[in-house]
Amino acid sequence: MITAGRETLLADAILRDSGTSGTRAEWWRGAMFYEVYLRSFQDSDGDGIGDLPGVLARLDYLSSLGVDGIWLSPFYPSPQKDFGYDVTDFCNVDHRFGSMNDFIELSQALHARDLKILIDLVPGHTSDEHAWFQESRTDRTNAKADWYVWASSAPDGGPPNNWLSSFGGSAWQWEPRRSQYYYHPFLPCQPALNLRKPEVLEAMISVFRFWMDHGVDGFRLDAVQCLCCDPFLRSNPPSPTGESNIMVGGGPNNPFKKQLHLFDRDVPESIPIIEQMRDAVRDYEPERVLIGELADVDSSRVAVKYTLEDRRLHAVYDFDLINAASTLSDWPTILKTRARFMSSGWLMNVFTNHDSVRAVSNLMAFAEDCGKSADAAKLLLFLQSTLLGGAIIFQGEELGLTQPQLEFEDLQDPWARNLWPDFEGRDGVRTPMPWTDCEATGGFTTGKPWLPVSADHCEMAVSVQERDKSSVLRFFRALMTWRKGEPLMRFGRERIYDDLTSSVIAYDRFDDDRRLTCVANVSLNDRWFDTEDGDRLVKLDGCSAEKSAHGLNLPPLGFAIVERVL
Amino acid sequence: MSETADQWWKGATIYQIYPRSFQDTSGNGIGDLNGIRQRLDYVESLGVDAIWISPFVKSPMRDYGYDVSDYLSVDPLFGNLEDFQKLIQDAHRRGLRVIMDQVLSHTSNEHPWFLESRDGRENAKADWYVWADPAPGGTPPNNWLSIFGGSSWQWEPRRNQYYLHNFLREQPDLNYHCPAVQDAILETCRFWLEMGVDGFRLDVCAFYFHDARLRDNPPNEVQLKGTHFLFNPYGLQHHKHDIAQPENLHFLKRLRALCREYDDRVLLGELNQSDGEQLHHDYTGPERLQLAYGYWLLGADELDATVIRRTATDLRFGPEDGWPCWALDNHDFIRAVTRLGKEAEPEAVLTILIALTCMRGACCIYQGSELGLPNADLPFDRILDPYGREFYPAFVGRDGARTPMPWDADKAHAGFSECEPWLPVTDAHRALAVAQQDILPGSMLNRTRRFLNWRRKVGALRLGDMKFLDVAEPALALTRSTGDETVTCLFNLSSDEIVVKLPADLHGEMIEGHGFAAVLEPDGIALPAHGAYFGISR
Repeated sequence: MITAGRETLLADAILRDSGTSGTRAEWWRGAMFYEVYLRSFQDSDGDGIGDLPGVLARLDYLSSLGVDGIWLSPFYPSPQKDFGYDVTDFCNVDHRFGSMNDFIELSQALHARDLKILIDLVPGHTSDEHAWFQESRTDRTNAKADWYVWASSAPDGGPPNNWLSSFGGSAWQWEPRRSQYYYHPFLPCQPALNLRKPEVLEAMISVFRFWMDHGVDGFRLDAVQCLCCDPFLRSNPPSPTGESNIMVGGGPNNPFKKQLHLFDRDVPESIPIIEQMRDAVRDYEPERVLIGELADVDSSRVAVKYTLEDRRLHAVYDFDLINAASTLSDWPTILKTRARFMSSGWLMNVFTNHDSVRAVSNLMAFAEDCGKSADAAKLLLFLQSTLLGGAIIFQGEELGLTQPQLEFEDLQDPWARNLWPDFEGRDGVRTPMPWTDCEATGGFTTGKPWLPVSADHCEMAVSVQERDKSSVLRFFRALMTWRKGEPLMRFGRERIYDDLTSSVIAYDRFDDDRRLTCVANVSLNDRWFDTEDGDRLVKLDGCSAEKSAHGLNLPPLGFAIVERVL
Repeated sequence: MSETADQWWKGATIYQIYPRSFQDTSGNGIGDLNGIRQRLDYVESLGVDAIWISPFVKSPMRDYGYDVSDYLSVDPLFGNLEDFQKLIQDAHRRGLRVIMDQVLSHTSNEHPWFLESRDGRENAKADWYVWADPAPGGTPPNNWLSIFGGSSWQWEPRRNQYYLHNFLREQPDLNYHCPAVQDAILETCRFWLEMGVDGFRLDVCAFYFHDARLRDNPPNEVQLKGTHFLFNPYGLQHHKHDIAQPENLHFLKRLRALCREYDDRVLLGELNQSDGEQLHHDYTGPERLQLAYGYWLLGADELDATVIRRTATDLRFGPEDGWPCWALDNHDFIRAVTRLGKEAEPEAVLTILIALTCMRGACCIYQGSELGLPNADLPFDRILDPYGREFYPAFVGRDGARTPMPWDADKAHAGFSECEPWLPVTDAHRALAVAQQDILPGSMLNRTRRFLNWRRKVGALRLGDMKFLDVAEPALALTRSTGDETVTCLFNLSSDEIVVKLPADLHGEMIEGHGFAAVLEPDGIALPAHGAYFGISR
């Protein structure tokens, strides 16, 4: 029984923060994950959609990156209205992506190469074609009648409250079979599950068990902010300023931003649900990992509530850095906030993912505009791999891919189609991996790819970068090799410098014996960074900074690490 | 009498053609204008006065033509302007009037007007549609609901405003408060009057205006009974501010004034369900619409003499009252044979239909009604109607009344098309095809033809004053009188034989030739099941 409000729970989490758990040497802390967006990774059967055998065929490549594991995007049977985030059967493989045997084979092959596998679970909602929903919608008395969030209309026939879908429109959809509305925080075809009902949560947890029995090392949990909604269905207050106090997706004018999401996001009732999920993964030996997505909330601030003291999620990832694109020079402030809330929680660094925009184009458009996207990509990979928390690298980021321009006619993302042109959607970041430069489809498929492969991407294809010693890909591999031998990158504490010249981001990663100072120049001019006697420049591929007696001279987009023995 | 010639619509029978499903000549599975032209002999044989053709102008067909993207051209699916001109000529040659459907309340979201209007708040057509800022909290500006489901407001990111749509979001509502919109619409109507159409059927003609202050609708005080009506939350609202606004009448007057420039061509308005009788009073008459129909009988699941009489009485039928257009079937409602539970005896529906044609008013007869077609039973995956897909299975939509005309059971796709039609022809329809009914004298088709052709010759049934006679259910009795003659009409709306006693002076002289049976007996008029009696006195 929850009596505390969400802020009380947050305060409670901060008070109980021991400040030490973050230094424990568990494998997932500070790990580097690689997000495989299955639809666009490698097609093996010519239908223009990537699949599990395609991933298996690229195992050498995955292994060559030097990451700790992969996060595999949804492969479950789905009508694909939201490209797999609308699941009709949580315990199976969509025929478009392969078979259960393909999954088992892939999982074993990854493990054989010492790569972990996290799968993407969507616990908060199903597809409207899921058998649970098909039953729940039929009437108000069936066995699954309250497996979803149902409510009668307001007296005027309108929805029960003012909640909006972040994808556009009301978050309530009328169901004529029951003469009631159901709640959907995203698309109308994605009804929200009522996880407060013990049977529903148990059904979801048995999905966790099913996949743990199949050997997965953990889960990326979709949309953790939406695991629950207010049981009293109270309307959200309008935002006093008419603007959002947090960054949310869907373009600058998404009406969703005009509410304070007190009752449809990050509600206290979700915490016991998360704790029960944690109990389920703790039963397994070794314990499996829960990494949650936190969107639509002030995530740097609230993360600790979600990862408190081994009782909730292991880690979360969020969109704060992605959304702070226009203020890269303010990053030290943001990073400081994050470091503070990270003392017991765990927040992974994500610069882009399948829901965002290519990092180079989003965070460093100024560099891309003057032809420096490769340097900018290296800089971002450097930051992402050295900041406290570890990272999830989205496929193609290791190539420094830029955001392709898509025509409206090419767009597949329903979110974009709702809010275009204010919001261009998520297709740009989801275009297929360019493997070779000798085919229009970049070697992704022998058929017609579901999204086009841009000519720019073909020039940045894997095959091209393999040949080029100075490529982003080869830089990334070298960085990963170095990082593997440097425990401070995983478990070292972090201190952010916030008193520097603008456009220089610097932070220490340290323990009681050593300190590594990471420095990056996020401008197109030279920058200087003071060092102390005894500081030693760490030899790092791609690092072009020069060290003199008193400091570092950082060229445009340059970066470096200096080491000091304490 | 020239006045009657001008007022041909008084007492007219109007055959409604749904062009997508009448006759395909181009081999694309969709009916077309040339198909209608090819079937004019058939239409003429029915003994009707006019045809109303559902929309055939350019449309992306999200609502099957009721979403117009160009008011001035024919959609290529249906043909071209020349085909339409030929159709008018051929129809006129046969003495058939041509009424076209005008969908003026809203356009398609692909109409160039909307494409311009949505682009920003400053352009020349910025106020041609109904735009409004969000309420605090980002929600729509008020509580208005769309008939086709959900809020009637759709967010438009190009303007960062909501626009109003009473139907699909692909059907943005025109802003009639903007005089330029009225003018532009009138010009499009003029184009068709110039071409020679005899009138317009006006789609949802109470929907042109909305409350300029965008006030919330109150909840509906009338409790809707049963879950049957609950499938659509639209019914839970009293539509006080979103439709049927007082300004609407002014525009209807402008439209009538335009028609007056063209020999007073006819305006046949579609009224919405709520308060349709009052709207009918307000909207019909000199300077307004000539004819209007509501959902009075179209929406009814049960019809008896009492309901019919009460409806006519509510509508009033004094000499100064407006003329209703009766209808049992159209493209929006489940076919009457099924709706009224008469699949086993479709002749029961025929008797109701002929009774309606004898009442003061005009009467629409929807294609297929003359065959006694039941509603086509379609599986969900064949349903295209967005209204039906939204509310399935509580409401299966309108496709069951929109399937292709069955012309000949022995031909592929019942002679409608040479290829797979857009909606299937069901076996039940195939069995009732025109060619098969043609050869049976007692078929629904031949009985309908005989009656309508007979009726045309009885002047009082068109123009006479009406009076109901007090007879008990299941009989319906009325007289129609002109200056010199009175026609007595008596209908048995049941499946049992009945004997009805009428005042002797009203029996008149029994008329024959209409195909319905009755016997004068000493104790009254004996009517077999679904029978009818007509007598004339001078």
